[in-house]
Amino acid sequence: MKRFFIWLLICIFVVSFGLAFSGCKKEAAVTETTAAQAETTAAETTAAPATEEETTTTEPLSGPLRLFTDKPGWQNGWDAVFAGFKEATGVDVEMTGYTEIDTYTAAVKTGIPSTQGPDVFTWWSNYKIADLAKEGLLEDLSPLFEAEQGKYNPGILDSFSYEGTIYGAPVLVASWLMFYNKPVFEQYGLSEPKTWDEFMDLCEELKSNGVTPIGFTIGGGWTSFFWFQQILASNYPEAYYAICQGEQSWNSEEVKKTFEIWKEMIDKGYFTDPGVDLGNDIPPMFAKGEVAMTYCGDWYTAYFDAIELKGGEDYSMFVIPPYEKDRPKTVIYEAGPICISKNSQNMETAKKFIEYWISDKGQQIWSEAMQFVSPNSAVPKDHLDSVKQKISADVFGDPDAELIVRFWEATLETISLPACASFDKFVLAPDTYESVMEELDQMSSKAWEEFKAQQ
Amino acid sequence: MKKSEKVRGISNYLYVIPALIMVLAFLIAPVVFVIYASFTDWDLLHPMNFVGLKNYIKIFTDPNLLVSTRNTLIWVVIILAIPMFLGLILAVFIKNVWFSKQIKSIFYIPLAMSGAGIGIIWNWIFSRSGLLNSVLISLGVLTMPTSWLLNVPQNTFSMAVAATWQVTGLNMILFLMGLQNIQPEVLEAAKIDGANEWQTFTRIILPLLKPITTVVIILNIIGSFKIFDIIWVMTAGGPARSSETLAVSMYKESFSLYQMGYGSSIAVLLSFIVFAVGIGYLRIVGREK
Repeated sequence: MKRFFIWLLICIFVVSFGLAFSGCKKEAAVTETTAAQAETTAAETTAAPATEEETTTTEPLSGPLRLFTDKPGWQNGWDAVFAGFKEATGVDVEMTGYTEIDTYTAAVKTGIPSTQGPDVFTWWSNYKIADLAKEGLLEDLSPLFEAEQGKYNPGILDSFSYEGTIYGAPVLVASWLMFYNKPVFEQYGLSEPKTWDEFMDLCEELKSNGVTPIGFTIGGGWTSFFWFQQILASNYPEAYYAICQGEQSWNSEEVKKTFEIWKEMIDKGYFTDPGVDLGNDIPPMFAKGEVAMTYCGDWYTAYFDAIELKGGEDYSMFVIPPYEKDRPKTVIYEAGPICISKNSQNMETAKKFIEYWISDKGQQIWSEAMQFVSPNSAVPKDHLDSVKQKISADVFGDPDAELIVRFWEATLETISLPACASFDKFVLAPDTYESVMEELDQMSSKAWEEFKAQQ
Repeated sequence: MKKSEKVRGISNYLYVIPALIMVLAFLIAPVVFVIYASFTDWDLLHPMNFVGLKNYIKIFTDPNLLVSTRNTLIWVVIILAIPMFLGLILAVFIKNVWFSKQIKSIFYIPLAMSGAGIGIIWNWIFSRSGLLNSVLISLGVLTMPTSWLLNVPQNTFSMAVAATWQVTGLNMILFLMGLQNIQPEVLEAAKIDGANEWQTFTRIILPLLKPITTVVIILNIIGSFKIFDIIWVMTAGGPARSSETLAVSMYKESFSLYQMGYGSSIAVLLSFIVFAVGIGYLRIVGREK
């Protein structure tokens, strides 16, 4: 009897092992077929860029499409676009959201070199997208943009390009502006400043009336670059880019001047206690009129919406005027792309998705759901609130406005985060800016040395 | 007969295989991999290159790691001193009271919570618009809210309060176990010999608690070396990396700065320290026996 059980156990083990092995083989075969299909389709697409008529293929698309994002909070927008895509193609999109940036980055970086990663995923522009493109991990999206020629600002698409090839489609194009509390401005008879001196007078007026002029924080470890980038980039853009690209030392006159201007503002008490929280403290302080202004990307209006402040009525925005008098209106922008993994198992579907995403229809759905200004110029703006329309006109609609990439994306990721730790030190002890400059210079030189060694 | 014994022997191994595979896949393999990665310049994207002892040398020259080490030692001292002392005092006071079960439950609840959950609660308490500032302002102690988690070393002490809240319960339970193991006859004999409460505590109870105190000390040292979740949630090691401990630096270097090789070397060093303390503990316990 015992022997029978032992043999039974062995038989079960052998049969299970055999089944598992054959299952693996089958799966591998399926994977190979899908990969082969994807390769064939990719080759076809590359050989002949699809026109609108050709794209209405009758071949069923593989799916569901796997999308990874670090922006799961934008559920309304995702749901709306996914529903539109399903209606157009019949394919579902499965979203995996990550709220922790570090975890997200690690998941994408370890996922996309294999076939187990996402088909499409949101990422960051400039050096961050170049990092992946350089390793051959991203699919070329240039052919998809040919059908949308003239609708997208070439400067924005450049942020998603590496060596002339576009690797990302815009998910977000946010401009960095000063948001102000309208009733507070009206109460003290203040208007939007046109020059730096007017801006300083405005801050002084608010301060003398017991209102903290500007909400600012170093909490969270990444926000301390805000004012550094604004002052340096709007006054000395060449130096800003040169420093970000490792072509100029941080120990320069322009950086010194930037720290001096910033220090003067800190010394005069124009900023809130840097320990406040960007999302939890500043919006209620702003709503109560304890803080009159705050500088951030225009996605920050979502925090105002959450506490039921109305754009145009409770708050508005202006572009911070440069300190140097001969400088034009300068706006920092951040552009977030969505990319296709080169190892996507649903390549044709992924391309269809991006094609849909950048189309007028896809962009309109996204813009309406998210209340974002669409970078597609053919998308109407009338559904946006008055502040967003003002951003659209004053920033993207002003041919004289100079757009400059945000610090976070403009430099190596091995520099941006450590630089924030140095900026933190400056904010806590503004007199130490010279040693902070020295520290930044050493850190940057080392990061560039390592970067160049990897090339 | 012999044949059936052989089959039984083989079948015994078969039962072990699933557990062995799990241990190999989820414990041994990652440990071996991390040790290997610590000798490379792995950054998730590029191929791993062997760099010898470069990462280990960097640990001893990196100013951020010096701050992390200093903070880790502060944590060890605080966690050894405060929660242990509080745990002992609570255990002694509640041992013979009728509501000791209720008190035990109250102090044990934080231990059942995750470190991240505790971090969120205490972050709210210490935040600028949080409970502590509101209470102190309403009592007139403060006129303006203060940023408890911003200034050095106040931020480390604030976080240590949160950790103390979590750890005290465990220490109390362990000391209670120790107190319950003391024979009542010993205490009665002391009383007959004329020892007062203080003398009984210092000369009888404390020496008899030595074995459990050893356990508490070792557990607290290991716990404070590994402390991560509370810090990550409350300050993420900031501002300016001023509140990082070795465990936080390990995570930050690996997953924020993508220096997986360097992060792995910090992990190996931290594991070595914790392992050495663990061995020390076993030796002490062995000597006691």
